[in-house]
Amino acid sequence: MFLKSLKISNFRKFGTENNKIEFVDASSYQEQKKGREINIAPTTTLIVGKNNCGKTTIVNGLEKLLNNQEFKANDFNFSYLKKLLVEYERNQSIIETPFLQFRIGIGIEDNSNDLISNIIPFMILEDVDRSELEILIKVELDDQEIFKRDVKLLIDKYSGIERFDKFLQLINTSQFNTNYYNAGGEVVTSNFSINKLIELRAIKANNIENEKSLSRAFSKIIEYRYKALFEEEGMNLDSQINLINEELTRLISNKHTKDINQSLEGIESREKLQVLLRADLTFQKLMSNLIKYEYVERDINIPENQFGLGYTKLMMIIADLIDYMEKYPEDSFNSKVNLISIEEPETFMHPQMQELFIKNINDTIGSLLKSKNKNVNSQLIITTHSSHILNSKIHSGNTFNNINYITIENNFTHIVNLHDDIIIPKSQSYDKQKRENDLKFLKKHIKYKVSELFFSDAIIFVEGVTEETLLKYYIDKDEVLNKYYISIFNIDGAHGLVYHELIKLLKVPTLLITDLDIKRSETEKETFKQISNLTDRVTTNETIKKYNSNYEKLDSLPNQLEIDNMYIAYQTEVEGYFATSFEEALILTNYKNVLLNSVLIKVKPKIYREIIMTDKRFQKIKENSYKLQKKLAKSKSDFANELLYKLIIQEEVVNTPSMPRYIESGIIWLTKKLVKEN
Amino acid sequence: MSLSIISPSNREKEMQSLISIYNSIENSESIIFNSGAGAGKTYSLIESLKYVIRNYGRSLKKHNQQIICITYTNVATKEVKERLGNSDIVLVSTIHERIWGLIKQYQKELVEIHKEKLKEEISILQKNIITNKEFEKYQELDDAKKEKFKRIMFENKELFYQNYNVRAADLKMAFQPFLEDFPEILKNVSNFRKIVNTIYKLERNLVCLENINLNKKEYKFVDYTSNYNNDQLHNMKISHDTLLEYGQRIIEKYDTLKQIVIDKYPFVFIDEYQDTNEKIVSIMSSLDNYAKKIGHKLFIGYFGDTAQNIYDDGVGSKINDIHIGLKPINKEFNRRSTKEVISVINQIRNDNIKQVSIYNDCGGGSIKFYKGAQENVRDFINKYVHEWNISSANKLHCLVLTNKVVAEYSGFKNIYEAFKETGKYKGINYNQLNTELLNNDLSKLGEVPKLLFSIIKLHNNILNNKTPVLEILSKKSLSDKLNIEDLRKLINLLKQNKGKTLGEYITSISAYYTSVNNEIYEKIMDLTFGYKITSCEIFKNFLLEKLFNDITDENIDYANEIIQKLLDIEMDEYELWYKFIIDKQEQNINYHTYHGTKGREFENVIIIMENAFGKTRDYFSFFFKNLSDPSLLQGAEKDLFEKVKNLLYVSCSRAIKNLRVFYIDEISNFESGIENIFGQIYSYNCEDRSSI
Repeated sequence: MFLKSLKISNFRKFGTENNKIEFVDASSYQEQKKGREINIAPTTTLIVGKNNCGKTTIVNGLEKLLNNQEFKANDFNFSYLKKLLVEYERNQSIIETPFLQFRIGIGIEDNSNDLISNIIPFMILEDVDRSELEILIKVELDDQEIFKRDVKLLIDKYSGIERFDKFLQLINTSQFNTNYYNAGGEVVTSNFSINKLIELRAIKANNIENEKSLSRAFSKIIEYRYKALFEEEGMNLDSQINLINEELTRLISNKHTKDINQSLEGIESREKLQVLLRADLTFQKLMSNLIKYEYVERDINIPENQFGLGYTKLMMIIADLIDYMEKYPEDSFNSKVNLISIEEPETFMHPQMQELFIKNINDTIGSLLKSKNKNVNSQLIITTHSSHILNSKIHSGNTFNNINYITIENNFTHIVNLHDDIIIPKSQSYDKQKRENDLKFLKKHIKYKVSELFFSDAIIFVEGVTEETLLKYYIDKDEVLNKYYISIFNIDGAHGLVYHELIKLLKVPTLLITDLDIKRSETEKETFKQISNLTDRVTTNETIKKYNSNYEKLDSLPNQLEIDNMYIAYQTEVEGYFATSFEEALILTNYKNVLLNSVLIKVKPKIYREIIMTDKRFQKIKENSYKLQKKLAKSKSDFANELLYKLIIQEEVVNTPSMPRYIESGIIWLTKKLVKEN
Repeated sequence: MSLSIISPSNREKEMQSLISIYNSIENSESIIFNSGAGAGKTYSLIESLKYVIRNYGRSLKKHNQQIICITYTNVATKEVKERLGNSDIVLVSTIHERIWGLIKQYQKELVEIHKEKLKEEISILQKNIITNKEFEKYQELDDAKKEKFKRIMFENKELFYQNYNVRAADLKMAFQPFLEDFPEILKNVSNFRKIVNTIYKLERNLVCLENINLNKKEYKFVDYTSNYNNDQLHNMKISHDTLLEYGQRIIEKYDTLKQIVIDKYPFVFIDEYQDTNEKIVSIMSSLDNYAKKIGHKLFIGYFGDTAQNIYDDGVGSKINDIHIGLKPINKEFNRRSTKEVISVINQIRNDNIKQVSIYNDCGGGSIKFYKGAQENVRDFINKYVHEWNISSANKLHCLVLTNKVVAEYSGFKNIYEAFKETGKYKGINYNQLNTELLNNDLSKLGEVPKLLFSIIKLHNNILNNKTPVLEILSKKSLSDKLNIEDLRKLINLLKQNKGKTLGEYITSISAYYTSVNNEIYEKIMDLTFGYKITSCEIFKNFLLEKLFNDITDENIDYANEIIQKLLDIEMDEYELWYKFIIDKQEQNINYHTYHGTKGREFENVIIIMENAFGKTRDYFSFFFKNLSDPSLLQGAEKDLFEKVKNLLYVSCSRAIKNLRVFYIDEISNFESGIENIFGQIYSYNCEDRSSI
């Protein structure tokens, strides 16, 4: 049995849609069990996302359920509560009362020894041959009648913010019960409780309390082992401690107790007052001070407190895992779903260590299992915002599967279940080999881009170094945009396309800046023909073709294309001409700009002079934009750097060249998206 | 659409009756709420419960107190729970479940009551042995011989039961060697069986009593089993009726228990009080009196209608004699039927409750009384199937007088006929058959029907993919050591049980039972059957024992024949019977007995009626004949008149819109009585219809 999915409704930031976390499925899990080498990467479920988007909420919600903790008003999604209250205000009769819901999908493996007694109450006959079962947990009001009456009173009595506050208070004081339902919506009354089915060991982010945390962690393990595994030795140890106590007491009595009592006699008679001093060493006391944790590094013992926090953190997690494995029952079957969750392990770890984290945990579990004959079915869940851990999961697992990417949309947590099949969809038109290659490319290429994609607020795709350089400068200068983490991603169009499905999944607002790439004949190229009309013109740009319904003609192309969270920008008409590249559009937009002209002179002095000739009319620049960009083709990076240099050292801001209109529009779109979202 | 508009003034008036209830709740003043059929009694009950929850919920919870709501059937329990929503301070249940819930933790006291009961039973048995004519041959023995006889019989208990259902000659042969000293006693085998049975029973009870006094471990608890209809006093097990008796005794005997109940459950609501057992009413009455005596608050609300008392063990109008001082609250609105139906049912009950419809748009109903002949019943029904556009969405419900007809029309005639021929349900026991074979309330089914029900239920459950697995395992503990493959094997095994007839099905079950070594399969079957079903013979013998308890020698072949009949009936017919019991029939026309429709309502109703009912030849005819001046009737006749009136009232008031009565006997003697209630009498015969 294993946890297949968890769908959380109305809890904290969760709404009622896009709220399903998926866990590693049975097949990969079983393969893993068969394999000789243990590689936990594919069997680890990763929950990634930026801060404050609801990552920890998932494990917290489960913990609350499992520990039978009470749910309070602030466990409810406030948007949901507000919506309910508005509904109550509008209607006389109250139909829906507030509830939280956890829908748990349990996977069942064939030929497994696992006892299913805990899930049988939820099974109907047709489930028997299935590999999946659903358990619905609803946290609902104990008494709807009382609640309804109180809501009516509250609406009559209060208004505005106060009304909502009182509503929250009412929820806080109302009794909620946890009820269980089967997939058919029937109440399961047998005395089931979810903690009979699921056990969760949560390793928290802040588990380092003081310098001795590690020593304490290990002494706990040793104490347990003594009690559970080495009973006889434990007894011996006990009697030894007793001997020490007796010896010490004797010594103390001889040397001190008598003297003290003699002194006391002077004050009060012996019958009334005397003291007895004795040694009181116990197993627990001994244990708590017995273990000194030292790290052996190149034959030098380094004490715990001198040791990097990162290592301490890793060791704490490993100590927890050892403890977990030690206590795991030694049966050949399981009757529970066992979960281990590690919350943000990256804290205090340097990037290299983060990268190796999964491998380290892998090795630990591998060696722990080797020495034990336990049928461990635990599923590992790692919550993280480390791009390194994400990276190592993708690469050591060689798949995007089992990654839950969490983001916020319209104030609700939005879960995206990544999967190779969604990122690079299987389709008839897609050549199988090409698909494999694309997937391979994406996995390799993403290595350096993971943090940009997964953790930024917005992404800008560009197809050239000039755009990349200039956009960075412009965004840095922008008072609104510079408050966000915006990644600029330079990749040429055809390869960029591979990313698009992933981008759509991640929901990050993305501006794709591409080029119109107007197809010119050889003669047109040679004569540097300026294009002022798109009639009968076609594009060679793959991105535009793809999103313009596979239509290469440019006559009816709109000014931009918007698909989901993507905005595709390309050159539009400037000063009567259609530019084919960013550089050309920049030149056309700023043909009169002094700074730009000075850069052109600097980079291409000969050609510049040739074009502008003696009358020095900027008009000429405009009329020869295509020629200029052609000539610049090989010195784009010089052009970009020179431009950037001039921009930085210039004093008069008025001289700054403007971005071409198509990019400006794109930036405005992006700004709106970002501001709205936050 | 009709029956939809309620005027504000009617709404206000209806509210008034609720407010009277609320006031009584506030004053802890016990009430009897009377309302005619279709008045929305359940609605008033639910609203009253909600009122208590709203106003006392917090305080009840704080003091760990609860509200009791007792319904008449499990079906009603479910309905109240659904309509009440999620609330665990109200305990909704049928009476037996509740009484048992109240008293079961007082085992010490229960055992005392049980001792009293045993002693009473023992003295009755002892008296029977001494005085009963059937025990003559035993009585003639001297004391020493009596003891010797007893000893021999105790030593050969097993032999006695092995020969329980054999021919007299065989039995004699079996016991001759042991009873050579007692030539007389074996002469009449039937009496011999009775004597021995009584001796055994007496002995069992004496042993039980002794064990209680010795404080033996298994004798410290009395248990209630809802599965069986008979007590097993010697096993410390009691059934329905005895449970109520114990409840009454224990509450009357122990004041502390009264106080505990009063303080823990300060609000008690009883639905359908008229059909509630007298013992319950006297329990409530003594609680009410005691509460007043010690000055604690207790509210008891009876909801019902004396005119709808149709069961003999129901308290009916006697309630006011047993529970004195109840405040009556009447509600005279009707929320169910059209005014045409209402006027007829008012005419039937003819008492102080005169219902009016709560709706402004209460017309559009149609009600007619036809006289006709038995052979035209089907034709008459068909006529209305067309006329009223009967379909699965607009069903027709026919009330017929006898279960035989219900069985026949509903498609399980053979089952009914076979049961009718059994010793248990033959002759004077015929009435038992009605309640024990065709009852929608499972707790009232007889022992064999209940067993058949369990078997068909299992059969039906296995075929239905939506059945919860636990329902099949029937006991949570069976799932304890189960893995998924075990479960798959089990379900597969159960699915393999097949058979066109009951006999074949049982044979299949027993074949797997003996051939496949599957512990859970065996346990499920043990729970279903109550014994180890290792062969179809065992099942047959069980039926024989239960259905032909006092079988005489000559009849053994006949009895076996009847049992074989039951086994040869097809499973499909049993399915129809099962669907009828759980009220999930798929046909467009559903048949019910008059009694079987309690609390229900139907758009279209046809009532087939005749003079007789059960054993009483002159039943409905008696009612119509005496309608003009019922005050002349006395004693039993008066009771009979009331009984018929109530049954007629309950049946006619089921109709929402269309009602037809089809009378198949000669009515010339009492036409005026009929006209008094139904108005014009129409006559129906087939020729009329073919000419249309």
